[in-house]
Amino acid sequence: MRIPKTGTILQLLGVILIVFLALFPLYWMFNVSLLPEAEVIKTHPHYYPLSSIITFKAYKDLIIGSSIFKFVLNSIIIVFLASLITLFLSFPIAYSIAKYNFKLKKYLQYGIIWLLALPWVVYVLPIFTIVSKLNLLDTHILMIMLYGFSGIPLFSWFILPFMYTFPSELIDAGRLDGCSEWSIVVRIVIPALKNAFIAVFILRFVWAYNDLLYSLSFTFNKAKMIMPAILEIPGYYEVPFAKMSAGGILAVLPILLIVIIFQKYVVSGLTGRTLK
Amino acid sequence: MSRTKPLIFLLVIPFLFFILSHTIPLLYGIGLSFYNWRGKFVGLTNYSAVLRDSMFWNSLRFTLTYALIVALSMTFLGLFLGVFINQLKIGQTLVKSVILIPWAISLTAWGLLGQVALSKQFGVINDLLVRFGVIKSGVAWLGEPNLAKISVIVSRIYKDVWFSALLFLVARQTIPTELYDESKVCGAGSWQNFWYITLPLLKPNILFIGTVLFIFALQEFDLIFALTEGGPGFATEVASINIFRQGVRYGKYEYATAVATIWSLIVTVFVIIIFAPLQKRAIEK
Repeated sequence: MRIPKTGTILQLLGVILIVFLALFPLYWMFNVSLLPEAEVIKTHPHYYPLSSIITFKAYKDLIIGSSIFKFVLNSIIIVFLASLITLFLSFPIAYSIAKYNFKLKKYLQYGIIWLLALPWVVYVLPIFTIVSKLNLLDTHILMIMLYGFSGIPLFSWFILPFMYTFPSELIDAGRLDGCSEWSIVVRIVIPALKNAFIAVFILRFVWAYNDLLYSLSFTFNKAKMIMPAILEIPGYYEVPFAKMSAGGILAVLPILLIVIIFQKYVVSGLTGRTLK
Repeated sequence: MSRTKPLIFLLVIPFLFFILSHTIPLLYGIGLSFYNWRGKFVGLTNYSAVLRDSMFWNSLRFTLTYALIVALSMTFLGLFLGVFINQLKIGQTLVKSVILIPWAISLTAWGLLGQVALSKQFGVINDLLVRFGVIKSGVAWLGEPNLAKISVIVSRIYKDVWFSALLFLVARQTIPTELYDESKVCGAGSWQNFWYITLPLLKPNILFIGTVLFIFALQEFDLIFALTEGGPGFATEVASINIFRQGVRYGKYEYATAVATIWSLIVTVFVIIIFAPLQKRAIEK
């Protein structure tokens, strides 16, 4: 029998530690969500839900007592349409920066970087004043527009490296064949970059779904989204830990599924920007 | 030239959507900061009120501390983690898929979980620390100003250090293996490999990831709002929360837009000094 080297053992310990640290928070949220409230407020917490006390009461309370599914659905609908808009508008911007030469191009790129850095909160107050005059507060259409348009600078910056690596020869070949600039985009560029599009779309979806600032500031009731909704679970007089955890689990579930299913795209989307 | 004509549709019109929905309101907000709530022009009155407000200076100081610590720790811990994961011979695929999980959790849910786990009497963190003998009795992580600051910073790093590790992992994998083969021939150990090959070659990535993390940490809102709402008192209030509280909670639009304008100016200075020069290479190629 081969005796494992100390290096291998250290690596194994490292793997176990990383896996534990990365999964523990989610595990803990799930664990607490399955306990009755009275069992959560114990000096020594339950490290796993005993089968004798396990309960779905927190979930039941949320589903029956509040419109949590409506809020999740609102978020998904708004963010899905908004991500399509972001992609549709950011792609041509990145394409023209990468493949066309024009005056002020350098300044446009510095401008985009500047826009990335401005905190979102500076837009909240003026947008709030304007949309309340337009009677658009708490509407789906407002949120779709806001999340659709607010991603333009960040996501054109994200798509840019994919565009730079796209071979210009293909575009030139298309021009020689007499394709118009439009059909080059539609027939050559878009099909070739399908995977990059999926990656960026998923990223934008996750990003906007998880955002709190806009959803908290502009949705209250009809178009209320899930992130501000779970924040309302703890009240002034009681802090129901199990219910808060159950709300957290329900809120992150859609994104967890997406990230697990489309893992490959998520990684390529995230790393494309930093490496090229 | 006919080829620049499509630019109107490809570039100008898409960008107009952002300008109309965000930049114009921003300018309107800046305009608003020169008026009082009755709509009377008051010049720089709001600005001098902001500059005399100690709450503003406190939030400014904490935002910078927060962003600096978060960005530095995430960059360097992420670098070591990424390099470590890269040389794993067992379980690398498992680790790669597992570290995406914390990234997927929203900062809002993370903040709620923090409230649960950091509770003084019932929290798992206190229980673990007491069991392992680190502390004698439970600590009010979110109730005491300095501890709250530490809690906010550590939980932020804990959530996304994995993400930064992933970036460095992929960056590390772009270094050609020949370099390491060669150094093996010269008899270099793994520490020397890291110091003389990996680190210098990853320097651009370190700078880039570090500044991006710093710029994004300056905008922090979600986690702190969900975890402490800027409290206890205003100990963990960052600039975004300060502006949100003044404007949305207290309804002091004009005052809050003045804070927002000052804050935008500060961020602009950062962009000009550190972010833009780093991007220069990418832009001017």
